[in-house]
This record gives sequence, C-alpha cells and structure tokens, in this order.
Amino acid sequence: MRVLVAEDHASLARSIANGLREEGYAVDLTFDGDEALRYALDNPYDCVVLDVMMPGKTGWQIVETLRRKGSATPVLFLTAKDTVEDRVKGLNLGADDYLVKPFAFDELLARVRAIIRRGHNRPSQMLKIADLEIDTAAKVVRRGEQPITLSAREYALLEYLALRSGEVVSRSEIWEHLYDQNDETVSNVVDVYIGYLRSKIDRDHDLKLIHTRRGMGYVLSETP
Amino acid sequence: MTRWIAWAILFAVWATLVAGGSVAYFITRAALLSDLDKSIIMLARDAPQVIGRPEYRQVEEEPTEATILIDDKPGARPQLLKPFLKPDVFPVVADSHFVEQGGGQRYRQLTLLFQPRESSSLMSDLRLLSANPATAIQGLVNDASPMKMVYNYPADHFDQFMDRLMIALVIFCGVAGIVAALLAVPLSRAALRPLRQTAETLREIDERRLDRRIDVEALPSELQPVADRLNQMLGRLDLAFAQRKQFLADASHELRTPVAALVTTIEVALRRPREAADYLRTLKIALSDARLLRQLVQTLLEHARNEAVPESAEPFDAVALLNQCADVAEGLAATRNVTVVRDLPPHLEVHSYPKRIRGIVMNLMGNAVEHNRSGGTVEVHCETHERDLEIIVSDTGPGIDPEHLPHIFQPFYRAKRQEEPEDTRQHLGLGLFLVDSHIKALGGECRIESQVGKGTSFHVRVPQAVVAEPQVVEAVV
Repeated sequence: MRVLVAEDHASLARSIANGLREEGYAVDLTFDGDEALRYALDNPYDCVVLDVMMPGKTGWQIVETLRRKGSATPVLFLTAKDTVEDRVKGLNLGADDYLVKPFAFDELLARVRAIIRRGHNRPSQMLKIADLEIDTAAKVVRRGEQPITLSAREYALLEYLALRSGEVVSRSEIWEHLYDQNDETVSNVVDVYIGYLRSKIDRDHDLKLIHTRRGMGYVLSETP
Repeated sequence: MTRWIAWAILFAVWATLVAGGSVAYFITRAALLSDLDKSIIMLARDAPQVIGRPEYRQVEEEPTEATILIDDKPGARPQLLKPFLKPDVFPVVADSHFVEQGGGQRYRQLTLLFQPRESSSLMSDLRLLSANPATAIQGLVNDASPMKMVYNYPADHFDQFMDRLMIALVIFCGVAGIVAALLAVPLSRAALRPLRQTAETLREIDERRLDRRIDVEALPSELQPVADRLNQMLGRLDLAFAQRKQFLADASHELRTPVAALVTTIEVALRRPREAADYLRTLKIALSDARLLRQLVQTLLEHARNEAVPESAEPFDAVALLNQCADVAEGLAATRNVTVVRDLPPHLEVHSYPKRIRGIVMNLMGNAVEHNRSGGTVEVHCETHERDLEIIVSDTGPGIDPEHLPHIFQPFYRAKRQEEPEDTRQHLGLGLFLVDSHIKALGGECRIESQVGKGTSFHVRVPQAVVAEPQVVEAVV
C-alpha cells in the first residue's frame, strides 16, 4: 500500500513515515502543501495523511482540488484544530477521516488501514479468498489452518491483490502501489515477488489462487 | 427602586394637591372677602348706620336698614336722618373681623373711619329728614372731626360658599390622591422598565455572549449616555476577550503539533527493538521537539506575566541596559558573522520599566541577528524625544514584505517559509508578539521601516513613567 504523508512539522512527518514504512507501507513524504497536491495528483496513493495547516496550500485546499479533479483517493486529516466546525469542514470537503493531534500512533495505523479497506469496499479487517485468510490488522496470513510467514513486501503485495481480488491487477499498478518514489527497483521485481508469493501460498495446494493474465497482469481469485 | 419612585410620585402628587388646594382656598377666600368688604363699604357709603362719633363707641345691636343714628348729646334721643356723604369721601377700614351675635349668627364687622378732608364736613348738603332739624345735625355735619362707623353684615352667604369650596377641594384632593396612589406603582414600574430590561440584557452577558449590546434607543434620553458607555465598554471587552480567545486557540494549536511529534516519535521508536544508534537518533529528535515545547511554554508564561499587574517603574540607565542586550546579541551574532553596532550616548537616565524594555530590545535584536545576511550588521540606537524614550534596532536582513507587515505582531504569525522546515522550528512567531505586548503595556508605539532586500528597522517609542510625587496628606485638626 502506498501512502502520502504531508505534514510541515518535520520530525512528526518523519516519525509517521518511518512508522508506516515499518508496517510495510510505501511512503512518500512532503512538508509543503503545493508539493503534496502535486504528489497526490501524480501518484495513485491508497491513502493520503494530510496536515491541515501547511505552507503553500492548506490541507483543505488540497482535498477540495483532489475531489474536484475526480480523485477518490482516501484522505485522513491530521489536524491541530479540534473544534467541531473545523472537523466538519474537513469531512464536508471530501476527507474520509480525521485525527486530532496529538494522537496515538496505533490509532493512526488503524484508521489508515480502515480507510484503505473502505476505499476498496472491504469493510472487514479479515480478507478471505477460498481458504486463504488475511487478517489485515494483525498482518497474519493463513491457508486452511496453516499459518504462512511472509516478508513485509510479500505481505503488502498479497494484501493489495486480495483487496482487489477478482480484478486483474497490472504490473505497473502493483509497482505504483508497493513502492515509493525513492525506491529504485528493477522492472521485473513484481514478477519476482509474485513468484515468492506463489511458492508460499499455492505450491502445497491443489486450488491455485494466483493466476497470470498474459499481457495484462495478475489476479487473485478462486476461479482461474 | 420601584418602591422609592412610587413613594416619590405619591408624595409629589399629594404635596401638590395639598399645597394647590390650600392656595386655591385662601386666594378665593381673600378675593371673596375683599369683594364682601367692598360691597359693605359701598353699602356703608350709601346708607351708613352711624353709631356715633368716635367718642360714642356704641354698637348698634342689630342693624336693620341704612340709617344714620346721630347722638347729639349723651343721653339725648337719636334722631333718624338720611345722610349724604360727599362723593369723594371714602372710609378707611380700621378693623375687620367676624363677629358672632345673637344665637350664633355670624357677621362680617367692619369698623370704618370716615376722615374729613380739609376741615370740611363729611356730609354734603344736608337734607334734613329729621323732624327736628335745628338741633345737633348742623353741628355734626359741620364738624370736621372723623366719623367712625361700625357696620355689621350677615356672613351666611360667604360662610356657606367657603364651606362648599372647602368640601369640594377636600373631595377633589382625596380622589386625586387615591388615583395617584393607585397609579404610582404601575407608573414607577413603567418608568423603570427600560432600566429593568437593561439589567436583564446585562445579566445575560457573560464571557460567551459578549457580542450582546444594550438597546440604547429603547432607553430614556437621560440613560442613553450611560448605556452608550456600557456598550463601548462591552465592545472593548469583546475585542479583548476575542483576542485572548484567539491567542489561547492559537497557543493550544501550536502546542498540539510538537506534542504529537514527540509522542509519535517515541511511540514509533518503541514499536520494536532497535540498535543503540537508532535510539540515540530518536532521542535527539525528541529532544528538539521537547525544546520547542519548552520555548513555547516559556513564551506563553512571559506573555501571561506581561498581562499581570506590572512592576513599579524605576530610574535606570537605558544605555547600560542596551549595552547588556547588545552583549548577549553579540554572542549570537558572532556565530553568524553579523556585527553589532552600538550607536549609544554615554548615559541616558530614564524612568521606566527596565524588564519590559529588556524584553523588547532582546527580542528585536535576536530577530535582527537571526534574520540577517552573513557579514551584515545590527545597529542599536537610543535617544529621548521630549519625555519619550526612543530605541531603534535596525538590521541588514532580507526585509519584510509589505504583504506581511500588518500581521507580524500577531501571535504565531510566520511569513511563508522559504527555508528548510527544520530551520523554522526555532521560530514560534511569538517574539514580535511579545515585543508588541510589552510596548502596549508601556503605552508606547512601534514603527517599522522595511525595505525588501535592504533591511528593517524597528522604531520603538515609549513614554517614560510619570515620577510619582510624594503624597501630601493634609491633616485636619
């Protein structure tokens, strides 16, 4: 999952970004409102964590512009303003959720997960495809009763495919959602990780879940 | 208050009624009496009943008709005559009063003195109606001595009229008094209604509803100036309160972010075991946020102290104080390759608040050093204008954009940052706010001259405190 963190207080921004990266998110970071809008328009983020008061454009202006341009990217406001009007204003402009500073990092994580799931129309934290179960909160994966150990990147890839299960997901989409701007990856890295996932999830089972659509991408589903 | 006004109305009405009634009664009585007396005099002139010469003080028991009884000699039998007074003879009223005679019948009794003039007779041509004209009349009419006449006239009519007037007045005053008593309370209520409404409005005003005002138009004109002043006071309170609320909101807003940063940094660091170097890095980041918080809290406390009761003014050497500030600024300036220039007289004795002056100068010089170019200068200058102390702090920094000038004294105001975010963390946007808060407390003003690209100078002018005269207490022996 790829997240944009836009917050002008540098140490706060960096701490959030580090925490999210350690949770397996690809994170882009900016301290400036104008840059944040540019990033949000250029990249397909799964979630934008947005400070309200920033130099350049305010968080409110950014959300307004995003929604006007038809972007449905989920937006979580981080705000030092805690009056009801301020909160309502953010939500009315098209934000999906807000968090008042100071907050607990665990709550930020839970809300980021929740709005990403909702963005993919998966309200439950458990994702199920046949006998494959993914607990997105605990980041635990099971096939049948068998727990499967995945690296952070493998987990992120599986979660992304699971959130879009049944749909064909292209390589570039996967690449865009799993890697931030600073990742310098080789072009076949997605195929490599799909290989890893297949060996861990599908190898010992007759019912294969990860399918290749030649020339289009991959799909995670019960039916081939 | 209502009761007092009611009583006041009542007393005023009652007093007016009693006084007015009495005046009306006595004026009417005097007028009627004078009329009565005049008609008695006319009667007396036309048909006097002369009781006798002054030496005969004999009052006729019951005068019946206009006759003149003249005693010629003591003991002689009076004769009946029709006398004629000379037309220019008018009597002087020697005495007038009411008398009671025979069975409580009241009379108006006038004692009239007919004074003969120029030794002539009172009587004109005598037409003797007496059967015996030869006797005493001649002597009387030729007599130039004054004639005294006592005339009684029945007072029934007069008394009856005065009684009726009295009854009418008493009834009228009584009714009017009762009506006044009945109206007094509602009237006083009505008179006090605007005041009551004003009080109601005032009661509803608290710190959340300072925008309410007294309806001046609804008040009687005497109360309008009071209400105007109250409204003006409310306006000032409203503004001050709004500013304070804004400041508190801004301050709490500014506190939230560093607290969030501190908490998040530590929480993220504690999510998993890390290397010592990572912890060290985390601690350093946390420390910088903690320092920012400390600075914020110190500034807020300083501002809170500024608003508290000021310390007393004292005489001090402004130049010595400015030199101390310049020394501190020089320490900071040296690390940034900035020179501090002191354009100061040897001494300048002033009477003011040294802590506040220091607060102003330290903040201005600190800003001047920080917002300066390498190799630039910060100049401090001071002088007195009349009784005002003027301090000028100039820098050779980038200057202030005219767009930002009106806002730089607002708390937490920061011009759009061009620098790196880390750098701006040192600037809370409270330094100039504190300067402004000190200058306002001293009753002074600050003028800013700024040229973009060349530099800025702050001209602070504060009046010196009035030297308190020793109080003279006059003893009253």
